[in-house]
Amino acid sequence: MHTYKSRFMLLLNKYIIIVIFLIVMAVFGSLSVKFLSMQNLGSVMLTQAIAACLSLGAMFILVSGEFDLSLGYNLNFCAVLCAFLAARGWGAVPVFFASVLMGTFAGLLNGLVVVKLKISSFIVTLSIGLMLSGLSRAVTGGGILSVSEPKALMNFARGSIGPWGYCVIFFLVLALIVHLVFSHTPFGRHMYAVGISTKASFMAGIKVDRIRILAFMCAGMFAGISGAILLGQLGAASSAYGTSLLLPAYAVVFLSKTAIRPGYINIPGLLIATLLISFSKNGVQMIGVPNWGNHIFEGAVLIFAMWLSTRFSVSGRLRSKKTQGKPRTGKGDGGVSNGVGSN
Amino acid sequence: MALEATNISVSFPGVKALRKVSLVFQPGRIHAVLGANGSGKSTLVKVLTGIYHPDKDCGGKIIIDGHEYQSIESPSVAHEKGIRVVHQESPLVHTFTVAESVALSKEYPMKGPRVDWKAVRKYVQDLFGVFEIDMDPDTLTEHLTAAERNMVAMATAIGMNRELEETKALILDEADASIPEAEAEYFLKHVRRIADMGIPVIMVTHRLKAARNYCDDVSILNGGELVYSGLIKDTSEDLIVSNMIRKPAEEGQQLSVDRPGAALDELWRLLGSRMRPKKDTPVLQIKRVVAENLNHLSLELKTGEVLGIVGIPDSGVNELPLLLGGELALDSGEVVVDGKQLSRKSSPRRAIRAGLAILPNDRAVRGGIMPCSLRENMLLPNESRFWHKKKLAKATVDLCSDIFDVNPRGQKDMDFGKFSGGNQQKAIMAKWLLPCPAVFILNDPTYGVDPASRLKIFDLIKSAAHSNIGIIIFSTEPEQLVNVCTRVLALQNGKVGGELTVQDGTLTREAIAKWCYT
Repeated sequence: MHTYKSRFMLLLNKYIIIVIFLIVMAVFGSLSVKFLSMQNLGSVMLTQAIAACLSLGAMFILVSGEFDLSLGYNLNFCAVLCAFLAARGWGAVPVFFASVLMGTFAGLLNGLVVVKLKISSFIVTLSIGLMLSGLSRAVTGGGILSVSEPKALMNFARGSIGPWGYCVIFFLVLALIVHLVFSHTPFGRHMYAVGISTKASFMAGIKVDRIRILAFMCAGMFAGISGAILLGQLGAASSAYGTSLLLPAYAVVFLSKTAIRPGYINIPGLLIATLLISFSKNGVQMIGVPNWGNHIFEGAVLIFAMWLSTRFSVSGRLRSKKTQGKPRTGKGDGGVSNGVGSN
Repeated sequence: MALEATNISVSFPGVKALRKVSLVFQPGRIHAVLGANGSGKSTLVKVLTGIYHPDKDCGGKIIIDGHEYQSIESPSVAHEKGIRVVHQESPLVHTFTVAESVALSKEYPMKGPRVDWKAVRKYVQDLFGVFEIDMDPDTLTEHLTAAERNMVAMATAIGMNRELEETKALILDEADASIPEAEAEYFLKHVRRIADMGIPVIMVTHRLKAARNYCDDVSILNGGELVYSGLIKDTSEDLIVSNMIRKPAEEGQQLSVDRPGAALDELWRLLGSRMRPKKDTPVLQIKRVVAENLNHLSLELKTGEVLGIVGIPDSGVNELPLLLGGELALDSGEVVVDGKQLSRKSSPRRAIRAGLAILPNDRAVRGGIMPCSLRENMLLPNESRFWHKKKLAKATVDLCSDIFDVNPRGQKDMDFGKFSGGNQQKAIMAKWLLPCPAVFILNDPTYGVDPASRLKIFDLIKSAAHSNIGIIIFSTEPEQLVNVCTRVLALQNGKVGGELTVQDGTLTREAIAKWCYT
């Protein structure tokens, strides 16, 4: 069935992101001496750990077929809350858990409203995001809350062993857990099933509503984790910090569909996509493009990432020129499967 | 081990959906439940599966394996009592493997905190062994044919070992609707194997022919009443159809013989449409067209003609409607409509402008917009003519509803999705005949349509042809073409392989069927 060409396409499908990543590294490496230095690599990973954690949360949302626009505000509010509590002398561990709880609670709120009131998740999460940003302003009073305590949180967020920041290692552990949850537990599999076909999942006896609410809660939880790390790294929080991380986090998750297991949002793909996006952003800075150029570049990268994910994410079945965009000729659900048979 | 429903009545506000229906389903037998849309067969299924409850005061009873119940409280109770259902929608997740799709509706076997994938595969292999399904559990669900998908759905619904022992009845609620004619036999043989395990199988279906070949018993519902119940071998196709339709069959057919096409002409007069050309002038010429499976195809269509096109799946019969509808680009060759050549890079918009109207085969996706109203759907292609003329729009929709017999009447603002399949199809025909196209292409017009609407649709096709619109019909039920077409072309290897016409007497059921399946 598979011709030589299609086998090549299949491989390209799986590894295109890695190829692009290597090209990006080579290009920026040759343009800037410092780009490939250990110090730079380490610091990029350290700063990107926050966005990466948030993208783990976004993954829960996208896998279950929803959308959560409040994640950025949620992260921001959690960071502000951490600063507020830290200023009142709370220790690192209680601050961290307060942040996680707050994030999860905001997620629960999102989930309940979306599922129980049956409102589009776009509207609900945007509105809840707005409320959270209002709360952030109320707590910060419009200014910046700077803290120097708790030291443990700061060390955790900034410190490193060699090039590996503590929070990078922490992220990798979280990613491994999320990977196991999605590929090897009923909860994760149910989430995929609900995302692919809510109706089929319902008919298979899955508690669809519960899964959807849990997806929002998990996403909120990761926003909380990222919020705490953000405060640890910056030592300050305002109502503006962190809100811009939303879009890159989603882009990474979309992009993960194009790698390793084409068509599925998957953790190995997410790791590669994170590396690709963060190093290309950093590379542009390193070769001396001014700040405004950076924004334009980032926007372009996101569009490119989205295009890649729609072009190269067809599961199993190859999207050759011939079948592209062609509606299935069979009728409705019962299309005659022509071409790629069950092999 | 039998399932019995006695004296079941179900009332909704204003309607009596079932009136004292009593049925017995015997183990090891396939019992066909037939009826037009709205005859109460879905209500009956819902009573048996615990979604609806029979009226309390009528003394209705459901007897499962000797145990009597007043009603079944909920679907999960129905499942507990051994009633298994396969619905029209597939319960399988299309990008999962078959094994995982099956495991989804069971419990995943666990090894510690992880899913034991080996056990999943083993379970599914064993399950397929019990039901004699020859399939690799690692196949992706989306690669299965409709028949295979339904076989897996049935196996999943019944289960094995203890679950199999607990099964008291299998209900196929129009599960076969998505299966193309060519695969139906294969599927029904499989249903027979399940019945042979000693399970009563209740098959709610629209497929008369299949029911007659593979079922043992038949019950026909009409307007909520049981009008016929007996052995299938004592019936004939005519007997079944006459029991299903409300009006006697002859009455419906006479309608158009009276003044064929007159009603449509009246409609076009109301809208001030251009008049159609004379009879027997060529409206569509396809010249040496190459595109995907089509290989130098040439054909010509004259006004007043009803042309049927059949063929096996890769003969090009799937591509031709897409090509004419503007969804598929030509590689070479030309298409001439009404004397004007269609541009090579076509789009649905250009095709419609040129005078090609197409009724697509997947009604739910491309045929109509389900959450919009009937009015919006009917006037969609030329909304620009109506948006500022409320009265004209109302008159048009009313007239269309009358001509095309769209029921319930006067529900212009009801969601399109709430109309039954047959009524949706008639409304979609109205939608495309309103702009008075040169050629009307119908891709499988009778798919998922009840027999009464089917007659009406054929009737409408004939009157449109009489009004000098060129008609092309693609059908998966080729026998249907005999009654309506004046000429049938069989495609073979991307070009016309044979021609059957009424004039020379070659247009017969057998001849069409032969071209379709071989």
